[in-house]
Formats: sequence, structure tokens, C-alpha cells
Amino acid sequence: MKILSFTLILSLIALISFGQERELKLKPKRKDNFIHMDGLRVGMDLSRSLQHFWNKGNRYGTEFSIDMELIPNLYPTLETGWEKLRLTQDYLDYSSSGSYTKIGFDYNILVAENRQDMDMVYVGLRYGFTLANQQVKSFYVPNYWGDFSGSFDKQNYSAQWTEIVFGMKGEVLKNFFIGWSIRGKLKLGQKDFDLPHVYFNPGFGPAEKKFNFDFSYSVYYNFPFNFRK
Amino acid sequence: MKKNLLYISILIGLAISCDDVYEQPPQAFLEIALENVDSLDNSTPKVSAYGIGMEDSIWLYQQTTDLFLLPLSLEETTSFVILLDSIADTLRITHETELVFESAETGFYNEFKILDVDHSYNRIDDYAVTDSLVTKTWHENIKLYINSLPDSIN
Repeated sequence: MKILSFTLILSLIALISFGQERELKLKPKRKDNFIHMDGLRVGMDLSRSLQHFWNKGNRYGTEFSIDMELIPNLYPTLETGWEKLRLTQDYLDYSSSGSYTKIGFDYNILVAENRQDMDMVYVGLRYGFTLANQQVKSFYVPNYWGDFSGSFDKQNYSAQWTEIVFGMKGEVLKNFFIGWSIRGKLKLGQKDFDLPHVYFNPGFGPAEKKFNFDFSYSVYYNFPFNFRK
Repeated sequence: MKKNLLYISILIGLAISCDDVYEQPPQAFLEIALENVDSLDNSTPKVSAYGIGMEDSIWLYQQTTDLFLLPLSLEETTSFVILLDSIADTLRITHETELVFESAETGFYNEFKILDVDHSYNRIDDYAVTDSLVTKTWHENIKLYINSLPDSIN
């Protein structure tokens, strides 16, 4: 009985494997091997100015992006922006601000229905870096023997990271797009100080974490000139 | 239509906000354990404590305990008067002080390293430094060996 069961299970596994292999072989090559979007798409990330809704403190910023379809379905991308975080509470007044830039590419995995279809679902990679400064304008340490207060001058620092991106961009009006993305950010390097440690990296998020999640919600306009002519 | 609904739902999600709540910075306290020299004496003393120069600010008042916390000052030495069942001793701790940044959400606090301990001998017989580092994670730093109360007080 055991031998029969074993044989049946093996046969089932072999059948499933064969089926998957056939499925892979039968998977059609994508037929939209053409340029979907002529021109240069410029975008603005609306979520950067609303970050104080889901982050501690007053965090806000601006980010712009440029991308273009260089070869079919591959979009080199540049994103650059500025961010500030200010945390004001009873024991500390901390601020950090700086500019950041991210370069990379998006690959469209959505097969176009026709030549006019510019909607895209994409995965992408980025390399990002920031040049920023932080300042503790005042701090206060309560103590039985007498409270202690002080401040720290501006400290300049830098950081770099990489991002994995998954998102969508949909054309809602002629050449106008709306899109969102979710991003996993992995820190590659950080200039830090003994006191106080860097708490926030513009463009990356909390500096104490090696990995951060983020998302964006952007509007875009495609300047529809054909630069290939 | 489905696409529009998706974008609207994302916008609603973005609009959800919450209030910021910040915690007080942690504090590092010196933890002192009391142990009777006479192993047959199981009594626990009533402990009071105040800083020398801080007589109008009692830190600890008549607590029956064999384990208590003391705050260290930012000077090189911290001196306390400790009353064990109303018998006063002075305890002087020489220490280093270090400012520590906990986070931008909580702030700074001080940690200490005990360099030396000095005391009077009214009720305290001896001491042992069990851990010289005084951190935000409170743990026993000094053990004070105390004599039993004289029979006249008992």
C-alpha cells in the first residue's frame, strides 16, 4: 500500500512539473516590442508634501522626476528633491534637511494593448544619495540635582542607498498620468556622528533603520516630442 | 472606472492622520541593594534619602525596602544622606558622566561610570560595586552591607 501511495505521489509530482514546463514553454513572448511613449515625462510626487500625516514630527518636501522610454519598455529615471524633518517636543528641538537625487530605471511589465496604450505597471531600481544637515536647536535633560540643557550646531552629513520600486502609471488624460509606487530602501552608507547620531536622511527616512518602506503618489506630464527623429 | 476608484482610495488613505506622541527621555539611576551583615538578621530597613545640599527635596522617604534607586548629579561627585531606620550615613560616589542621545523622539539622557565610593560607618559597614556602569537599564550597581540595629533601638 505504501509503495502504491509513494508511486502515485511521484507520478503526481512528475505530472505537475511537466505541466509547468509546458506552461513556461507555451508562454508567449511579449509582442509590444515598440516605443510606447515618445518624449520626456516630467512628474511631481504629491506625497512628499503630505508626509507629516503618517510620520512623527513635521516632515515635508518636494520631489520631481524625469523619465523617458529609451528602448522599448525600459525607462531611465531621475528623481530629485528636498526634504525637511522637524521634531519639536518638551525635551528636544531637532531639525534635519537636505536635498537628494535618485537615478535608475523602470521596466514596464504590462503588455500594451495597442500602440497608443501608455499605461504601465513597472518594477525598478534606484541608487539614491543625499547631502543634508541636522541641528539640535535645544535639548533639556531633567535631573533631581538640577536640569541640564544645551544645543548642538549644524552638522553636515551624507548617505546613500538603493531602492527597489514597484508601481503603476496610468494615462488619465492625453499625456497626463497619475501613478503610485511602493519602495523598499536599503541603506548602503552613512556619515554619522557620536553625538547626536544622525536621525533622518532626506529621501531615505529614519537613519537608525537599515531598511525603510516608502510610497509615492505622483502626477506626470509627457512632453510629446519625438527626440528620436 | 475601476482605475479611478483605486486612485481615490489611495488619496483617502493619505488623508488619515494621527497625533504625535513623544516619550520622556530615559533616566539612568544608581541602584543600591542592602544586605545585612548578620546573616541571621532578616529585617528590612526603612530607607530615606536626600542629596547633600538638597535638604528641602527629599528623594526617598521612609520606604521599607532593600533595593532603591538614586539619581546621580552631573558633577564629578554625588553625595547623599541615607537614613536607615533613622540612622544617618553619608554616601559619596565619584563618577564620570556621559551625555547619550537616545533619539530625536525622546531626547538626551546621562549615563555614568562609578569610579569610587566613600561612606560613613554609622549603619553601613562596607560596600561592593557590583556594576560600575549606571545605564538606562536599571540594575544593581552597589551593594551596601549594613549592621543590625542596636538592641536599645530594637
